[in-house]
Amino acid sequence: MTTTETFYNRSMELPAELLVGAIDSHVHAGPVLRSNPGHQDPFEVAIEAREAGMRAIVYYDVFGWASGTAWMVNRHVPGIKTYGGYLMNSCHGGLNPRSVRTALYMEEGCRFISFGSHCTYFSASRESTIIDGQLVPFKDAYPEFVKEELSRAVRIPTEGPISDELAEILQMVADHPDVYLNTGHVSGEEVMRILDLAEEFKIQKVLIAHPARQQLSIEQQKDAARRGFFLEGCLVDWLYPHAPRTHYYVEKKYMDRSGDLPRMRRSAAQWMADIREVGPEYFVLGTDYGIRAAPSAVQGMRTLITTLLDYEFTPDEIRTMTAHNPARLIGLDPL
Amino acid sequence: MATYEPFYNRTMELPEELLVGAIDSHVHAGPVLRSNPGHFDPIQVAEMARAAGMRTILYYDVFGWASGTAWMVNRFLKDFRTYGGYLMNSSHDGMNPRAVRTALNLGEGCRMISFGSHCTYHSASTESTLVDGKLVPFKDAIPGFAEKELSRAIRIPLDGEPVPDALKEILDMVAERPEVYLNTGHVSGAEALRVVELAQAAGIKKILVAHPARALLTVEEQKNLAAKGVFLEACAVDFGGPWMPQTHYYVERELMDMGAVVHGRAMSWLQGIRDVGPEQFVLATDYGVRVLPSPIEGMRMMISMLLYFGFSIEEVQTMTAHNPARLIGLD
Repeated sequence: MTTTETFYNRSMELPAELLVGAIDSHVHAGPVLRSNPGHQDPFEVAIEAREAGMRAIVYYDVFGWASGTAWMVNRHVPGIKTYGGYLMNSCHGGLNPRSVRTALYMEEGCRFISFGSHCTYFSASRESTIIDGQLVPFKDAYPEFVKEELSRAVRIPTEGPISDELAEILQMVADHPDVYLNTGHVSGEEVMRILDLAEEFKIQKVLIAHPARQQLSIEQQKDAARRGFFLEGCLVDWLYPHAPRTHYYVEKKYMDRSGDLPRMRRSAAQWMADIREVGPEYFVLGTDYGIRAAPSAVQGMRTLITTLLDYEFTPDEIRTMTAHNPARLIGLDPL
Repeated sequence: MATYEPFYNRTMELPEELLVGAIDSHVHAGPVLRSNPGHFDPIQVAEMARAAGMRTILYYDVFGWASGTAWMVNRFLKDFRTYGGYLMNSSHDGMNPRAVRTALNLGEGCRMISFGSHCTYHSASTESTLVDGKLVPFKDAIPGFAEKELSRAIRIPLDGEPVPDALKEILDMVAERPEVYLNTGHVSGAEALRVVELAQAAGIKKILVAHPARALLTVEEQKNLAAKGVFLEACAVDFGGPWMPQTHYYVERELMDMGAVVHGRAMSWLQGIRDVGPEQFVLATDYGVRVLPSPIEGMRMMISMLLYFGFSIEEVQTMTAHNPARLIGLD
């Protein structure tokens, strides 16, 4: 097996070799809304990952727990292990300890508890529609969105006392050391408070979700890394076919259109430079793929690994970010 | 012309023949809590139903939508189409139009929207724990249950009470989807009658009165509903299967409904064995008649009951393997 490559002598095979043992810890494979079919179902993702020699897959479900999905896949797709996560959302009433408790005890249990993606206050107050060519946040365009959605969006107080519900959830995660806390799509300030709370509640493992990480300065990321928190980067951060799409909300009017317009995003080069500066030893990289328009998650991992090679990360560094750190995060033994 | 099985010439095969084309519209196949594993996973149930020639099955999930489960099964099996239902529950924050809307549009879509099982006000206020040998409702016995669970339990407003917007929205969503039926869920008798009224007024064409709700109605009331075109449900669990405490919906051990301890025949049978001691017991099924599962399934059920009741694995083996072997004279 090739273990390294040199600038003047790169190989076609190395990306595939680095896929062996890799873990995609961020895959959306459904079930999803019929208006937005995925690329593959959970069985197909697991089978393709197994054929590529990958070690594990972690399923995300914007509608709640993916424990049941992982359980069905594990019972019928031998040769690879899959895991599920839990994302808070308004179908589950926002910050709902009953729902988190259920997620932790359903079948093999969720490997992470996340404050959510579309239903954090940060996301829900920014997702936008287009009116007369301009982006307008749902909350300003639709009064009912404020009443029905923003009202129960998940919000972390940046200072002062926390609610009983939040305390109960943090304590449940602390009581399950195999489970990691995922910040979800919160603001940078909320991330910093979550990190403090995680230390206060003695939560062993925390992942700063990829959009939240990008709300932090390099200094803040370095500080979080020094404190032992994992930092996430996903392929979608720089390789994603933006188009109007439903993800979480059934209603067509609630499609997030912010991707339709040109917007300042960190390029792949900047994203890579950030990882280099903070230090690859703190990163967990996955794809966040799943949508029909994107390549399969496994192909995405291959693209991610290849691009890391192109930016001259070493095979060891790539293994750290795509195999060892994800394994530590989800609680698998080192290979 | 009705055709009856001849009394003096019944067959072993006729039940299997009648399974062909049959539909089980009420199956729980998981995912479930690890404290209460199911018998088969959804794919296994579908494979067995297909092998038996059944037409389809409809999955229930006490934790919400089974649309995704049905979608996964259908993708995996490819030549067998299953369906899912949606049950409101407190993990979904009770009566939540957003959750219902999602259920209707997720995966293959739910064919049924139900007001829920364990999280209706009727169920949540009657499920009970044991305090000094007496049944006491959770709401009176378990601190926090009234505040956290009963407060968002599903309640149908009776005559004269205002209909909340969330309920109106849900009824309208179901009415707009003629392939979807409304299931009353485990509500009280009075609520079931009111659900039918509200649903028909909202233009919902298909309504099912869930089996426990039906059992709360008089024969006259049921006849009236049938005359209005409402479907009435009855389930094999209404008469079959050992009733014993199990976790179904709530994770917490103290939130197991203990009604079975007081009223369940299986429980007094198990307690009788425990009182005498398992050492000299020989357990068997006495099965064989056509209406019952196979003796092997019967043994499986009994072994499973013993485990739930708290017999050790060694005790189970003593009563079902070692003692029968001693009795028969095997090494």
